[in-house]
Order: sequence, then structure tokens, then C-alpha cells
Amino acid sequence: MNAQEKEAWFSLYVTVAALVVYAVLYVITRHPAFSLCAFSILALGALRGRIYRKARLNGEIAYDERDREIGKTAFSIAFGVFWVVFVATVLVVQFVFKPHGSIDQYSTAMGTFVWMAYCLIEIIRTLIIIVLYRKGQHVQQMYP
Amino acid sequence: MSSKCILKNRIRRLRFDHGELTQEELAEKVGVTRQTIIALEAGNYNPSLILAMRIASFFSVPVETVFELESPANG
Repeated sequence: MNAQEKEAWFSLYVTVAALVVYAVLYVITRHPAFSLCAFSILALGALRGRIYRKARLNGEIAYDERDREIGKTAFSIAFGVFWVVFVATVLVVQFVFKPHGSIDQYSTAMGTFVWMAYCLIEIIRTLIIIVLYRKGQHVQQMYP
Repeated sequence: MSSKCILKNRIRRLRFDHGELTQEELAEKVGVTRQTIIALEAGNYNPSLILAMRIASFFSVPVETVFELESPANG
């Protein structure tokens, strides 16, 4: 397993853990603002750099052109999925609440949206990276 | 109608011909990971021009000797 795949697994575990803790806190406390504290777990993502550093210290080549292509492909797809979900949500809200309607929302709604968007992108990005490495997929086949 | 071309390579053969070089040794010489060499030999990855030229330069052969473009019409 190379450094980027290890980093993808690590990021996936951290992101899923944050979402699980958020869900548990929300169910227990019913307090949206307090539940957002769960996303502080995502700060563990700062440790990702250590995976690459460890590989370099072992004298390995931590990141090459193929890793870069897989990373770019994974992020492009993840952002594309996020964009579709975002636009679909906006359209649904407009149809449901009509042009002059309004939505009652907690002040934490924007923060929740941002964190959820980040988690969605990160989960899809890491899953695609893992799948591409496991299947030995031809990276160029993603964009014929 | 466009035909899809396939890039074939002789990296595995060249490795064996150069003192049974391992994938890891070759990867270290050309500056990529061992997984990239594995993917190259399996035909799962097309290298960049720079990497292709590095590999050819390492084996002291022309790039066309290492890589061959094959279209389905040519079989």
C-alpha cells in the first residue's frame, strides 16, 4: 500500500468517525450547535502529512505522477458529485418554498452545511482513491 | 470513426535483460513508486513523456523500443 492509499484510508476513517460522533451527539443532546463539536475530530487530518513524511524518511518515493493523476481524478469526481447534490438541493428548496418563501433555520445550519459538504467530498474522494488503487484502474480511462 | 490505440511496453523484458532488475530497483532509478512500475507493466497506466524518456534513457534504448502504439486495426 503506498502513501496516498494509506492517507486515503486514514482520511476516510477520520471523516466517518466525525459523522458518527455528530449523529450520536445530535440524537443524545438534540442540540445542533453542541453536535457540531464532533467535527473537531477532522483536525486529525493534519496528521496526514506524517504518512508521506514517514515514507520519505524510509527512503521511499512517497508521491509520483501516477499518484498525482489518481488524486486529481478522485477530487474532480468528488467535487462533481458535491456540485450536483448542491444544485439539486437548491432547486428542490426553490420549488418547495417558492420564490418568495422563507425557511426557518437554526443559526448553525450554515456551519452544518459546510461541514457536511466537506465530509461528502472527502468520503467520495477517499473511496475513489482506494478503488482506483485496488483495481489497478487505468487512470486515463476515467476521462476517455 | 476513431479507433482506440493501446500503448504496449517491453519494460518487463528489458528489466530481465538488464541483469534481472527488480521492479523496485527500476522504480528507484527512474523516480517513481514500485506500484507505478507494476501498473506500467500490466498496461494499467500510460506514463508521461518525461517518465517514458527516463525509462528509455535508463535502458539506453530509444523510446520506441520501450513503448509501442498499437491500434486495434493493426492487431
